[in-house]
Amino acid sequence: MTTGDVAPLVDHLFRREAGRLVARLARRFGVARLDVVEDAVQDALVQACRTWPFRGIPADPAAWIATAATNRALDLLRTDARRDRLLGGDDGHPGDAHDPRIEAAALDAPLRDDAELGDDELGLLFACAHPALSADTAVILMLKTVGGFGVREIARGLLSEPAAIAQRLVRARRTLAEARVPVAIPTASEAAPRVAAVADALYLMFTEGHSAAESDAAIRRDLCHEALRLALAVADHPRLGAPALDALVAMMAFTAARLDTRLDDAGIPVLLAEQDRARWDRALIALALARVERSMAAEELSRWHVEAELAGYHALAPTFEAMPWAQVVDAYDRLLAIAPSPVVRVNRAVALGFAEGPAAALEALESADVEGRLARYPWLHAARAHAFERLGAADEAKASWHRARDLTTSEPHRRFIERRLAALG
Amino acid sequence: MAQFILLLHENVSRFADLTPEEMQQVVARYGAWGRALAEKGKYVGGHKLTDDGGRHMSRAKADIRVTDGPYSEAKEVIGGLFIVDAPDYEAAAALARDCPHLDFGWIEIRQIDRT
Repeated sequence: MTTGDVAPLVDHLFRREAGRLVARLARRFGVARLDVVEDAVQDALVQACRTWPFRGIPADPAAWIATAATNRALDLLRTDARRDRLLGGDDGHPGDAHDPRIEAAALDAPLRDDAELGDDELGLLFACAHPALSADTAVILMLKTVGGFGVREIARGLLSEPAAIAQRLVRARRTLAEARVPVAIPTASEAAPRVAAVADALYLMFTEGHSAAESDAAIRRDLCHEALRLALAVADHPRLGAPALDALVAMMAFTAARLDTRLDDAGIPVLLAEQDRARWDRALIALALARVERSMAAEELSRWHVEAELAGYHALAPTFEAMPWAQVVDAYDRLLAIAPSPVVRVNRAVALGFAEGPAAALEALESADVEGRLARYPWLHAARAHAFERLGAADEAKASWHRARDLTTSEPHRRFIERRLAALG
Repeated sequence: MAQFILLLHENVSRFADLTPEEMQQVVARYGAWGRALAEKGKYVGGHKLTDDGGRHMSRAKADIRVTDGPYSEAKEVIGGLFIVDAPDYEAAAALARDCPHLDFGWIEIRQIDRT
């Protein structure tokens, strides 16, 4: 601060280092001490925040934070150990930090590229996706630990309350500690189901970030990009990588490429036909295409393959009119064969409407919800409204829009529907 | 020109709830504030103070008594200080007006007496 010549910090440096250090220290001290580790990293960042304004940003900010976090973790663990001894309750956790020499080695790891994940982070990612935790809890724990997101950011991104998120984190840490989950990349024999669990959680992280229209654009984008970063790390790991993971990455990259144009400045959804294709992220689309290529090495097509194909049709069509709707319908049929769901059937019906006309869409929508689970799903009614509009049946369209509006809990979606209603007069 | 000390009283617990991303933004804001001051030639120096609360010394009858500062019980500490060049209190306050510290506590402005 005394001089004006310090380099500005790399974007997201604190968040990245928080994730990296929590992973490194959790691996060292054990997942049973995850709470202490997270506190230590938080304290180190606070220390940076209170010290750097006076001394300036250190030459190697990441190393500074790492040292502060490691020392703080050792302090906290020693205090715990002393208290445990005094209370006669020292049950000698493996990896306890009674030895002050532990930390030196921890700091010797070479610095990695900003976006790259190391074995510690991957190990923690697998701990988070442990079968003892549900997928949505895994997402929260991944964001908090490996991701370096704060409780309030997670709450904002996932449309929840900070207190609720904090409470679920406490329970998740306790569950992992009780199950004595290791912070480690699974061995070859147990890898397949564990990788699938990580992939499911990352898919959920991505779709939550993608669909939370009410959260602000910045945090939504960060959630999607975090899911993509983590998925890339797993897909690129020499022992864990698999064609299905490349397909998952491709789906995320195709979809993330369009992220900034999906909502207008007020957060209201923009129809695909009206999105500004010039603003789609070419680098992400190129990444997705490369991953589609690699995903073709698969012996059988996974759900992610079909999802990547669908996302690709949306991201690659030069104009809305050029969308290959018949192929989209075909892909939805294949997705339904692998992972049937009424929501996918609604999406298929919408695509069918573009391929064959609104009458076909209405007919498909009739049978989309055979189980009757979608009666309160606003987009079923929105899809019907859209089909009625195209048929020129304004009264039916309005009735369906009204139904959709009454069911949606999202303010931006409600405003989107109001606009459509206003256009119908 | 006269010099002023900005004593930064802060409530450390206000930092506890910040996310890493927000803390990085805090660092960036302090950086921008300090650079702007330095560019205007108003910045003289700054020091972080340790968080131990220091020592209090006083004479008790024949003895000099040294006691620990009040840190452990105190919610508020003087986290650090900046020294700035300014003609008067008003100008010094104007320099401190956009200091990010005001999000975490209050600023005591004292003039160094050179009369």
